[in-house]
Amino acid sequence: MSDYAVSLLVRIGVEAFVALSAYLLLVIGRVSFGQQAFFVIGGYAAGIATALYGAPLAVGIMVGAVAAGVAGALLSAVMAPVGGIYFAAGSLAFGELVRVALLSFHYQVPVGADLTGPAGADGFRGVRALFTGGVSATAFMLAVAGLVALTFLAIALLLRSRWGEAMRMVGEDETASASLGVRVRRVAALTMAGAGALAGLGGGLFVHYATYMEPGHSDVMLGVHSLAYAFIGGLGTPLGPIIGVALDIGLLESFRFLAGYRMIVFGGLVMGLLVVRPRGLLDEVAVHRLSRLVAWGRR
Amino acid sequence: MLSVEGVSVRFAGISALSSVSLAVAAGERLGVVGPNGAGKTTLLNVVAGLVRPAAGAIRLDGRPLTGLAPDAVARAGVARTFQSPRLFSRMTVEENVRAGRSLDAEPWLRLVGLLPRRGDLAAALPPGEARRLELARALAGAPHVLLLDEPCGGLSAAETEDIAALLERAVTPATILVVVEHKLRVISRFCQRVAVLHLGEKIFDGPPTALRADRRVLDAYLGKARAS
Amino acid sequence: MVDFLQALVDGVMLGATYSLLGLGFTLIFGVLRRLNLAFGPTILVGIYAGSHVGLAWPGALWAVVAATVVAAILCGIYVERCSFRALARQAPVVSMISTFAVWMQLQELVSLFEASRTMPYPSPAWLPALTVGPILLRSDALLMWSGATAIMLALFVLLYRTRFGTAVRAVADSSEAAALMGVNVSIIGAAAFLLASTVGGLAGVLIAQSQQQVTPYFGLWATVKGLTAMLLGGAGSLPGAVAGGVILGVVETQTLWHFGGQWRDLASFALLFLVIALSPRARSEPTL
Repeated sequence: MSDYAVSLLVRIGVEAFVALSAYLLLVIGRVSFGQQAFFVIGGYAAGIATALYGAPLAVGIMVGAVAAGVAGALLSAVMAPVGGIYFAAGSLAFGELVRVALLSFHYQVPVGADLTGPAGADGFRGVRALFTGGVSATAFMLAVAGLVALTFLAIALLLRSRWGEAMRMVGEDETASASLGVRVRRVAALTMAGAGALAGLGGGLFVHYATYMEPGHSDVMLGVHSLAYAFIGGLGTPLGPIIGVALDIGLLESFRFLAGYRMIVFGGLVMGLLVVRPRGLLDEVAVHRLSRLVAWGRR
Repeated sequence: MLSVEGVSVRFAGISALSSVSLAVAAGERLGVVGPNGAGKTTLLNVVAGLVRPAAGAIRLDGRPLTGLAPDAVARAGVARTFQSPRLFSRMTVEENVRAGRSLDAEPWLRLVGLLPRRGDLAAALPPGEARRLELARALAGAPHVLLLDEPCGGLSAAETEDIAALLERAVTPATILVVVEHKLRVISRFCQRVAVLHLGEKIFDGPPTALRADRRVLDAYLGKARAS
Repeated sequence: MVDFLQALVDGVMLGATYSLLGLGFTLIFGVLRRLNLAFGPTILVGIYAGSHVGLAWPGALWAVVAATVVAAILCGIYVERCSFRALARQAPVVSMISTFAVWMQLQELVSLFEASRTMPYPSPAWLPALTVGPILLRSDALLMWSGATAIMLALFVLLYRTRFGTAVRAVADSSEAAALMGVNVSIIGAAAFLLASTVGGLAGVLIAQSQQQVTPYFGLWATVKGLTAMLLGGAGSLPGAVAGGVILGVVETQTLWHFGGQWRDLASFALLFLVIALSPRARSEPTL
C-alpha cells in the first residue's frame, strides 16, 4: 500500500474518533462546536506521557483518552444542564478557550540532550514513541482501523442497551425522559465524559503519527467538520459519522481538481443534504427500514 | 395517600394556582375538571415536579415530594401522561414502553393492543394508538400515582371508550389515579370524586353526582361552557 | 487610576462596535429564533471586498465602504436563502449547522482570492486625535465609537419609531400573534436579515478601518464577539445587546491593560462561557 493511502487512512481513522465524539453528543441532543478541544487535550496528554515520561505507546494513548474524558466530565459540571443554542455557543467558547490557553502553555522537560514538551504557540514537537518503538506506518494504520471498528461496535451496543435508550430519550425530549425517571443530568455528564475520551483517543493517536501537535489543531473547523460528518452520514447509527469522514477525506480530498474548492463543495454538500435529509443519509427511519430488511432476509 | 397542601403557583406574577389542597387515597380515582386556564395541567406539573410551587407542600404517603426534581418524583412512583402525547418518535414502540427501565414491555404492549406494532417507530402511530402507547409507558413502571392529562383528548367516541375500558382493566386497587379532563362525561364514567378548578382555585370537591347541583360550578364552568 | 480610565474609555469605544455586531445577531435571532453563526464570515467577505476596492482605487473611501456593505449584504442574502428559508420547517439547530456549512464556503472563498493572508484596509488619515485631560482618544477609536453610535441611533429610530420597526418587534415578541395581526412574518424575517447584514457590514467598515488590516480569522472573531454581546444582553433584547457589547469591550481592554494581549482573548471567551454557565435561560430544552 502506498504511503499516501496509508496516511489517508490514518487521517480518516483519527477524524472518525472526533466525529464519533460529536455524534455521541448529538445522540443526547447536544450540538457541540468544541470537540476539537478534547482532541488536543488528549493529544497533549498522550504526548507528555510518552515523550516526557517515557510511557509505552499504548499507555500514553490511554492517558490521553482518560485526560480528555476527565476534561469532559469537568466541563459537564457547567454544561450538562444546558441545551440548544446555549450548549452550542458554550462549547464553541470552550474550544476557543482551550486553543488560546495552549498558546501560552509551556511545559518543557529535558529529555536526553533536548528540551521537549508543549512550547506555547510553537506547539508540542518531538513525540516520537511510534518511531522509537519501531511501529511501521502500516501496522499503526491497521491498529487505528481496529480501534475505530471496536469503538463503532461498542457505541452500537451501548445505544441498544438500557443506557443507550436513556441517551436517545434525552436526545428527543428531556422533560418526558425525566418524567420516566431518567437522570437527565447524569446521562448528559457521562456522555460528555465519554465523548471527551473518544476525541482524546483520536488526539493521542494523531500526535504519535504526526510526531507533533499545536494549538492550531484546536481550530473550530475541526469541531464543525466532525459535526458535519454525523449530519452527512446520518444520525441513526454510529456508522453515519464514519461514512461522513470517509466521504469527505477519502473522496473529496482525493479529487485533486477540487483543490482550493474543497470547502466550497463540502459546505454546499452539507447545506444541500440538510435540506433533503436533515438527519443525514442513514437517519433513524432509514436504519429502521434497513434492519427490517435484514431481519426479513434472514427469515 | 397523595396530599396537596395549600399549593400556590405563580407565573411571572400571575397566579396559576392559589392555595389548592387535595387529598387522594390509594385506590381512589380523582377527576380534575375546569375550563381552559383553570390550572389543571399546572396542578399535574406541580405534583410531577416540573413546576415549583411558590407556597405549599406535596406529600406521598407522608414523604415530601416538593422540591424534588422531576426524575426523582418519577422514581418515587409517580407516572404521568401529557396533554398531547410526548412519545420518543425516533424509537420503536417497544423501546418507548421500556423507556430505559429494566422491565418487560410485552405484557403492557399486549394490554393496550400494540403488540403487533412493537417493532415500528413510534412516529408511525396514529393519534389513538399514540395515546395508548403513552398510557402503556406510564403503566409499565407499576406506578403508585398515575397522573393522566386529558387521556382522551382529540380522540373519537369509540377511541375514548377504548381508553376508558383500558383504564378500568389496568388500574390496580392500590393506584392513586388523578385524571385531568375537559369533558365531564369522561370523568363521571370512572371517577368516584371530582375536583373543579376555576382560575386557579378549587371551587368544588365531591362526587360527580353532586356536581350539577353546585351553584359555583354551574356559574364558573357550565355557565361559561353554555355561553360558548 | 488614569490607566483604568483610559482602558475604560478605550473599552467603551471598542465595545460600541461589539454592540453593533450584537445588534445584528439579535435582529436575526430575535425575529427568526435561529442562530446565524455565519454572521461574522459574511462581514469578513465584505471587508475583503472593501480591501480589494481600496487597493484598486486608493483614496476612494466611499467605494470601499459601499463594497464592504454590499458584499456583506449579498452574503447575508445567500445565508438567508440557503440556511433559513430552505430550512424553515426543520428544527432551529439544523439552520445553525447549515450556517456553519456556509461559513466553510465563505472562508474558502476569501482564501481563493488571496495570495497573502493579511489584507490592508484603508482608514481616513485626516481625522485628528483628541486629548481630554490625561485621556487620549485615538482618531480611529473615536470614529469607531461615533460611527457605531450614529448607526445604533438610526437603528433604534427605525425599530421603535416606524411601522416597519413595530412589525419587526411584534414578530420578535411572538410570530404567531404578529401573524394574526396581519404582519407578513416571512417578509419581516427576510427584512430583519437584510437589516442585520447592513448593520454587520457597517460594523465591519468601522472595525477594519481601526485595525487597518484583516485576516481570515476575522469571521470567527466577529461571530464570537456578536454572540457574546447578544447573550450578555439576554438573548433577544436590543438594548441588552448594546449593553452587552460595551461590557465585553470594557472587559477586554481592562484585561489587555492589566494582564497583556494573550489574556484579552482568554477573557472574552471566558466571559461568553460564564454567561452561558450562569444564565438560567440556558437551562432550557435542547432543540435538535
